[in-house]
Amino acid sequence: MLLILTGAKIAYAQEQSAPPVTPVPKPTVIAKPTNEFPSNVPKPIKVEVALVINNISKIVDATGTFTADIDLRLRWYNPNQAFDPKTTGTSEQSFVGDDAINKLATIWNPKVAIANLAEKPLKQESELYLNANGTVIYLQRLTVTLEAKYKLANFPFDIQTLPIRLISKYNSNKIVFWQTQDDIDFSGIPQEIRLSGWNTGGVSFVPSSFKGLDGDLHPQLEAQISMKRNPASHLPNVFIPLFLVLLVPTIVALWTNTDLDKRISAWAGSILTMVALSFTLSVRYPALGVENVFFQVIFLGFAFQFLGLAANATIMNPSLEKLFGGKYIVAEISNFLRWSLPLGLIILITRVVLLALP
Amino acid sequence: MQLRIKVPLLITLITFIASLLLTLFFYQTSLQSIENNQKEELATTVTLIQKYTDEQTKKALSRAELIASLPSVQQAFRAKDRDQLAQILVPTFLIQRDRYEVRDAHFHLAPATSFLRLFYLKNYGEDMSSFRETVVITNQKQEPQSGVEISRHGLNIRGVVPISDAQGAIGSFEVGMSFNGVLEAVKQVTGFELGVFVDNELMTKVATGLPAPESDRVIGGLRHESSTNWGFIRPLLTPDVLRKVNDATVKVQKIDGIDYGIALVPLLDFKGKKIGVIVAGKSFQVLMGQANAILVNSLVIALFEVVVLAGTSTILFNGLLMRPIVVVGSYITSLAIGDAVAKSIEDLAIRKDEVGKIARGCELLQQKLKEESKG
Repeated sequence: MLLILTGAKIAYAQEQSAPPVTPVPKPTVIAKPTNEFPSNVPKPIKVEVALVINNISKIVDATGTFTADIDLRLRWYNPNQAFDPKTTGTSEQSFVGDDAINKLATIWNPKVAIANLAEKPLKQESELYLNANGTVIYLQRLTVTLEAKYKLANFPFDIQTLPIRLISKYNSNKIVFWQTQDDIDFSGIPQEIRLSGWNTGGVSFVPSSFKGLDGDLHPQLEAQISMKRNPASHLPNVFIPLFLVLLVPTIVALWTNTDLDKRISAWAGSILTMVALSFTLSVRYPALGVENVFFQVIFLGFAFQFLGLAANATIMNPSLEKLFGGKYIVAEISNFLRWSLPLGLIILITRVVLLALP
Repeated sequence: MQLRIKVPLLITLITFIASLLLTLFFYQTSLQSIENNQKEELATTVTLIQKYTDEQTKKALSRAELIASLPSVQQAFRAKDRDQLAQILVPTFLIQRDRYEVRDAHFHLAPATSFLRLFYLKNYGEDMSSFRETVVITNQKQEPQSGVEISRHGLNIRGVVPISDAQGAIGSFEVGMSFNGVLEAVKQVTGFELGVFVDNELMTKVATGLPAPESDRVIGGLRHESSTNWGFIRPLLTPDVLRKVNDATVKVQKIDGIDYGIALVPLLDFKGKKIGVIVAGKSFQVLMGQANAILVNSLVIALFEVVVLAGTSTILFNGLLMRPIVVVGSYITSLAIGDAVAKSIEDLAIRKDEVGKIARGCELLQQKLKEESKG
């Protein structure tokens, strides 16, 4: 782990080793470590943020959470932490694990936290590097469960944005989240994440601010991970039962010359089965709302059943033939309904699915 | 083909064609409207790039003017006291550098000899008259100059002002501001990612204070100078795209199945000569999604139109006309062959329309035939 996190630090060190256009003046004396807010730096202090998503192990729609392995790199400049490399014999001090956390507690740091943590981090590894010029690099490897507000209207054709929201205790006048090109290049998803049922997209960063309980505006940086759901495993759960539930009454009541009571029975049985299917769907996908594709399809199924039942009870009821213009008109209407009702249903279901496709 | 099939089929076909044409027309109109919006968005982005570049130029010039008008600065410059100038201005410069995208702050002596770089104190004395025209002109004409120019330390938006006191001209002072401020400002307003590319040959010749660029950062002879997100900008560009930019150009380009709006603005130096390109790009996937939704909804409406009109025409034509006529025809055939058990057409004979008239005529015919056969 040390090696991997050190890789991030090396990348930064290489960037730092480029010929300086605007060299930072090096202090000649060793400053005393202090955890007070640095007074000798221009405010707001830029806290540079890079975030790597190593893995996403779980996405739970029902609880609105996801679990991810991330590397978070924060770096800032604090002249109070600058030291003379000649005196210390090194241009960089490094701290790993508990040492890093203990050291961090003794120096000023921007108090950056992940705002949408659902629970305490499942795993946390830390490294802290203090450069002689006062640059502080804090690296964390975390396994965290985070909250997300999933938009499930287009489920299972949805693309979800998984947020990692970084905030600071300090207000926007004191610190600001910043990303250099190096931070952007370093950030992202380095390799395809293998999470069953999902395809990995990219990561984008959205800076903003929010009003804290103290009434001040605080900086916020949200990493948004785009994940596309693979619908293949979900579609058969709904469309095959739905097809079967509607097929039987369609054949019995619209395409055969059975008695009215048998046709009505076929619709009644189908409606009850559809209620059961709808209930099963609610249990299996509790997070889905009525605006979701599956529920829209179920509602269309109910509408189809209602129209079929109504047509059988009225237009296709021999005792009410005269009310609808006589036997010739009724025969034509029946013929029309045989194909137009199923076709209308197919068209509307196709529309729902096409509009949900990304 | 029988009339009961032919007529509804023809009506359905005509309805289908008419609906399809209407749908296509409606979709095309919507698509045109979306394309216009895209172009407008791109044009606005171009305007904003130019506006923010102008603003950055004014900021550079105003900062330079401010410093040049300070008596303490004029005094130290007149005395050629580098240490004094550095003492007065370095703390201020560091704040400007760290917070306000100021990269360069530079005193020069006529015609264009570096006197003091606040960002690089040890580096002075170079004659820059071969490549720093803004400085040469400022000192020659004693007039401020501003705009984009490349120096030893790269591309900046610059404001150069003459410095003089009661004794006359002393030299000039410039402030150079980074393009990052422009790019970030445009990104915040429009959501576009932006990048600046500069003629690599020119940069290599003049900006010797910079390290050589990585090979993948040079496209079509233009060097990537800065960007809001290099990873996003890079796939949008090819050498051809960058080379052909002579005027502000906007276009929508499909990359990996996704539509991207791309704006290309020539980067002009202070004399108006093209030295590079500013690129802005954004995914237009959302807008294309709207266009697809319009197409789907239009098609659904068209199909329902076809189904309803086809059904209505079939029901009315066959139900009111063809089926009764077929029954009457069968009745006449029965009469002709003397079928005693011919089906009654009473239900048709009571109708008050044309079919009723024919049915009543048939019944009359049957009565006449019966009477004749009895007589």
